[in-house]
Amino acid sequence: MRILAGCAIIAVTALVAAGVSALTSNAAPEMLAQPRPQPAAKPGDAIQPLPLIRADDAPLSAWEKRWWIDKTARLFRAGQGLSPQDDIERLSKLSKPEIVREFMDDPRFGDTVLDFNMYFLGFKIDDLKEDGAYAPSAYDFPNAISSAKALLTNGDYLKIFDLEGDYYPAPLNVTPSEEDLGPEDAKLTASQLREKAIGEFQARLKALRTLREGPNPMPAYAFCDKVGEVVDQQSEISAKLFRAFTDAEIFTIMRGGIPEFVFTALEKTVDDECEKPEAQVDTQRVVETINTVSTQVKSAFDAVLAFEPTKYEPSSVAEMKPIDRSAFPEGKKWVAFGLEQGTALANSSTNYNRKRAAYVLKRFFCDDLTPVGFEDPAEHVSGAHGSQTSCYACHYKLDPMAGFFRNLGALFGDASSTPDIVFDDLASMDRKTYQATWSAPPGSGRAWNVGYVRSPRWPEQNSYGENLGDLSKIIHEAPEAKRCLMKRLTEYMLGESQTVDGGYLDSLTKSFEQEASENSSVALKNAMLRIVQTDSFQTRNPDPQQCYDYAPGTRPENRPPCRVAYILEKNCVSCHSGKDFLNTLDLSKWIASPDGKGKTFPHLTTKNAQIPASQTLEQIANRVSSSDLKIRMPKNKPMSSQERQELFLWVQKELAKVKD
Amino acid sequence: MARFPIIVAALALLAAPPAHAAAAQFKGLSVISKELSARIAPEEGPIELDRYMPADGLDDLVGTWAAFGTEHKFQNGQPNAVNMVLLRLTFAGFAQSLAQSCKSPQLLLNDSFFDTLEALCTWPSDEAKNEQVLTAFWLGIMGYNAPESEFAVWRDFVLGTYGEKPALEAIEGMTLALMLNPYFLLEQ
Repeated sequence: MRILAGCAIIAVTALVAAGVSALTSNAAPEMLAQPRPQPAAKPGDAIQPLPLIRADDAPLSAWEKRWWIDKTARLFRAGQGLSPQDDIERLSKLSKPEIVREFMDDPRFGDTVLDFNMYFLGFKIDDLKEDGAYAPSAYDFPNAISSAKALLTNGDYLKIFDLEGDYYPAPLNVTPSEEDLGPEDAKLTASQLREKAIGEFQARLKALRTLREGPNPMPAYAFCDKVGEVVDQQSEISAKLFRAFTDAEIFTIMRGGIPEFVFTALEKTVDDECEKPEAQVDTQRVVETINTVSTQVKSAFDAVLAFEPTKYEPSSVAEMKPIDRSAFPEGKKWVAFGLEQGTALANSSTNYNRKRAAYVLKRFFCDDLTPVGFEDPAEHVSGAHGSQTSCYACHYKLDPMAGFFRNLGALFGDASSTPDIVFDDLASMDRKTYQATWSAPPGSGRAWNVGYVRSPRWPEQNSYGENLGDLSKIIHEAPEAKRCLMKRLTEYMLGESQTVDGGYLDSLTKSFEQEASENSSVALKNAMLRIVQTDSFQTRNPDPQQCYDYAPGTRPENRPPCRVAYILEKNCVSCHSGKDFLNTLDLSKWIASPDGKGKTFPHLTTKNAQIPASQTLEQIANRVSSSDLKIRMPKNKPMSSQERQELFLWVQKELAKVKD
Repeated sequence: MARFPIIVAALALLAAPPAHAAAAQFKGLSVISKELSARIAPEEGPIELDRYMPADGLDDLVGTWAAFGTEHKFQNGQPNAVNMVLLRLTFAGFAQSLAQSCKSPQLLLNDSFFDTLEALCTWPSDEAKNEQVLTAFWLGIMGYNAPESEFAVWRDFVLGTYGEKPALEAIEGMTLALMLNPYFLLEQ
């Protein structure tokens, strides 16, 4: 046995090291047919049948068709491929769209969509379920759940772009999480401990109220002191309450404003009333405040206790339910960033939300913030990041994006009405001073310099806003976000390292956009159906450097490498195609380099001699990344920063190759 | 015996997938467990391969998305000496359990795979070497992950190497050979 395993180690290691490319040649990829128009579906409608996008299946042997079915089953059933319960003979006779439709009807498809949504948000996990129940992390991304649930009823899948909305807590813990519980507490179940802790908290409020009841109510100042004592003991009382909850549960309760709301309300009333001469103290107002917060506390904990595992244990995404936000004092706008994102995307006293901004740019716009230069702003930009071009290359879009989060402090907590902002590093500062960071310059026509900035020079290309609701709207409307969604979908389904032609991606995005204007869930399902029918998906061990699928009408012969061919076509080839005799660089072709060092673009000197590849590539890198509009390419034409980054990174990689 | 490593490695290189350096990553134990469970386990008792790991927590070293407090990326999926050894130990433990199931129940298996294993337990009988039984065993573990030609190579290897060996050794060997196949291990 030892010998056999040793052989396999050698085999696997050798295969990996070799990176052998022995691809089977593929038939020319079929073009995507135009989808049939979809009638608008209302949430709750039954899932509509998908349109047949490809009339006939690519010719596959029986074994290979089964391989495709198995692979597709794994993809659409959250990792679970064919089982003995599947009638493979029957499935093999169906067309691919029919098979996909069948898999999409499986309840496990909801898990696939949730898994993809978490991948899109950058927080995919290995297993959504542990021992048959959803893992706590699966509940941490409310927009991922909202969107997956919506997809199952043909609702608005694009809720994935909503940064505020419902919140889906996990079932409450089954075993108390705190280790050093007192001997009495240690005897209780988790549920009993919760009941006890909540009861104690409510009893403190009730005890205050009774001080003013009966024939001999406590004198006003003494009553004030008692209420003040409770306020002073906020930390102890909160800690006692929280001993019955896990970190994730505490996060939920605190996000809803409990118990802070109680102490804030009591403190304010005490401050208002108890500074007055004793005879003028309106003790009834203080009692009313206690009654109000008691009612609110009861309503909030009733909402929390609806998630007791005896009452709530969803077995599918469809069964996941949101918490009643109206039961909480601060439940109107529930931010979509959960505990893990709160931890991962900390707002520190030095980064001023830039980590959160970089996250949004990366996850929703596929902008990796590669510093490739920018159009010089029309006006001088002040500050350290403005005066240093290498910094400004990212900060021109990072800083305005960060402004969307200016009202959110530690763990994305709402700080819009507090005098200070508290950062995740526990530093704090005056909120107004902090927010002035994003004040728009006079004459800009905006109160805040907050937005999704595409160009520092041409503001008309940018989308400005003020708050998270505006950012959600911008993401919904931005073509970059939908393309990013399609890019992540291809990565999820084809593998992250698989190169996908930009033209194909644009074509996929175009279809998605058209269909999403009618129904985004149907649009996503159709996009998935298209991807499982691509040659990339249907090729065993595809070469990650090769593109297998192209936009309709593309002729891939003699094209530059597919990672950049479409970017060049879209942005450069109209001038650099060799048609103009004054133009000596042809970016539409990819030829063997005369010096034998790989391949390069046709690039001639005035004497018709080919320029060395390294020189050509260096010039391209320079032209693409320069901030000087006189030399920056494409000339007088916008180019998305995502494409600019992709081209620049590819040129750098090619340069490294030819210089070796 | 000394020739075996070279022969098997050569066979694997000839017949194995054209693994591309940048793409060749392990699937991770959780993905493999899910695939295997669907094929050979009953719904209520999935196979959890991490129980065969030499120690708790090591499954993060053979490919995982697990992380906390930072964005998640698939990590430790590139084959290396450490994760290959860990997988070999894990699969060896599973293969042993499967083989031992001929003597006493070790794993919860679905009816279909139980029947296949029962037939294999009569190894080296002709019934066990039947093409249908071997195919069912191959598909139970591998599914359709590998091309048909891989099955032929494995079948010939099993019949040649374990042809007259006792059932437990043969089943353990054929299981391990199958699970260490790059088509089983690597993300495609």
